Amino acid sequence: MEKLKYKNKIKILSSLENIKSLNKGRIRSLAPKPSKLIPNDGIAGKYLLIIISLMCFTISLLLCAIILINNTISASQISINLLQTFNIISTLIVILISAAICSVIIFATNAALTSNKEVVQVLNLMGASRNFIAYQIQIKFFNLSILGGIIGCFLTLLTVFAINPFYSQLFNMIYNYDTDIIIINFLNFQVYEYLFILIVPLLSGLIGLVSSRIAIINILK
Amino acid sequence: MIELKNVSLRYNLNREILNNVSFAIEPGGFYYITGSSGAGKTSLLKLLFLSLKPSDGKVSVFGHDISKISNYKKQLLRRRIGFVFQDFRLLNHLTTYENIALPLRVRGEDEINYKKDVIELLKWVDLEHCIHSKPEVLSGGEKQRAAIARAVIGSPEIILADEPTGNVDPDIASRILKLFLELNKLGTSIVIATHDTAIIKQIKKPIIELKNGKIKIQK
Repeated sequence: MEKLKYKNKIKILSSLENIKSLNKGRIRSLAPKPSKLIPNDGIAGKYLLIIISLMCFTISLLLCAIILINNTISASQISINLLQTFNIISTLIVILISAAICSVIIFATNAALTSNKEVVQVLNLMGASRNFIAYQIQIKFFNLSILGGIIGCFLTLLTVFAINPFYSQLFNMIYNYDTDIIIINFLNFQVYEYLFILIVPLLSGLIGLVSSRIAIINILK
Repeated sequence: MIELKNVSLRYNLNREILNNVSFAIEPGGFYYITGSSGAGKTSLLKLLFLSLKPSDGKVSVFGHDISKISNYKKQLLRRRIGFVFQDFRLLNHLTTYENIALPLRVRGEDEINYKKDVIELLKWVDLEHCIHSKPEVLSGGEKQRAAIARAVIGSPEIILADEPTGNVDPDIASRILKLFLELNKLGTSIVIATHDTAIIKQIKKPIIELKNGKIKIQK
C-alpha cells in the first residue's frame, strides 16, 4: 500500500514537472511579447470603467423607456402632451450624460498624460509622431468606453427583462388608465428597436475615441 | 551634417548659455564637448537634437533650419539622430529588449523585421542575459549600454551622448568608449558631452570646449 502511494506521488510529481517544462517552452516561444507603450493605470482604469458603464446603463435604460412608452401610447392611439415632454426630457438627459462621458474621458486622458509624462517625452524624443503617441493613449480609452457601453447595455437588458412582467402594472399605476391601453412590453420590440439600444456601446466608443483624441492633441501641441 | 552659425541661446534675458557660437560637425567625425558643470554642454546637445531652438543665429541639421521646420519634419529628422541621455531615460515598464527596440517600434516597423537586429545588438553590448529584465534591475553600466544600444538600433547618422560615462566605473567607461569608437569606424558621427578628462585622454579626438558661452575648438 505504502509502495503504491509512493509510486503515485512520483507519478504526480513527474507530471507536474512535465507541465512546468511545457509552460517554460511555451513562455520561451511566446517571448518577448511587446508590452503596451503607455502602462495601464490599474485602479483608475477600473473606476473609469465603472463610471462609463453606469452612464451607458442610464442612457440605454432611458432609450428603452422612450421606445416602450412611445410604442405603448401610439398603439393605444392616445395623443398626449406628456409623451412629448417625456421624449424631450429623456433626450436631453441622454445628451447630458453623453457630454458627461466626454468630460470624464477628457479628464482621464489629461490624467493619463500627466502620469505618463516621462513616457510621452521619451516617445517624442525617439521620433514618434503626434499621431503615434495619440494612438497609444486613445486606443486605451476607446477600449474602455466600448467595454463600458457593452456592460451598460447588458445591465439594461437584464433590468428590462426583469421588470418586463411588471411593466403593465407599473404603467397603469402611473397613468391610471384601466382598460383601453394596449401595453407593448419589451418582448414585443421590433428588431430595429433592439439595435437602437445596441448602438449605445458604439456611441460610447465613438465618444471615447473623439474626446480622448481632442484632449491628447491639445496637450501634445 | 550639422552646422551652427552665430548661434546664441538664452533661457531668460539675463543668462546667456551660448554666445555667437559657430561650428560644424562633419559626417563620420568624432567630437567631445567639454566644459565645467553648467557651461551649456547639455543645452548645446539639445540644440543639435532639435529639443531647443536658438535665440539667435541658425542651426542647420541635415540641411534643415531647425527654427523653420514643422513638428512632423522635426520628428523625421530625430529618427536620423541617436541620443544617449545622461539619465538613460529607459522606460521602466518595458524590458531591455523592448527599450532597445523602441525607436523602431515608434517608426511603425514590424517586430518580425527587427527582432534579429535587436538580439544581435544586445549581444554586441553584452546584455544578452538581460533581454527580459526591466531597467530597475539593471546596474548603471548595463543601463548605459542599453541606452547606447537604443540610440544605435535605428542606424542613425550621428549619435549624441550626454555624459555617457558619468554614472559608471572607469572599466565600464572605457568599454563604452570603445563601443562609440567601433560605431565611428562604421561611419557614424559621434558627439560626446563630458567633463571626464580621463576618457578624453584615452581616445584623442577634436574637442569643442565651452566656456562662458563661447567655444574653443582643439583639434
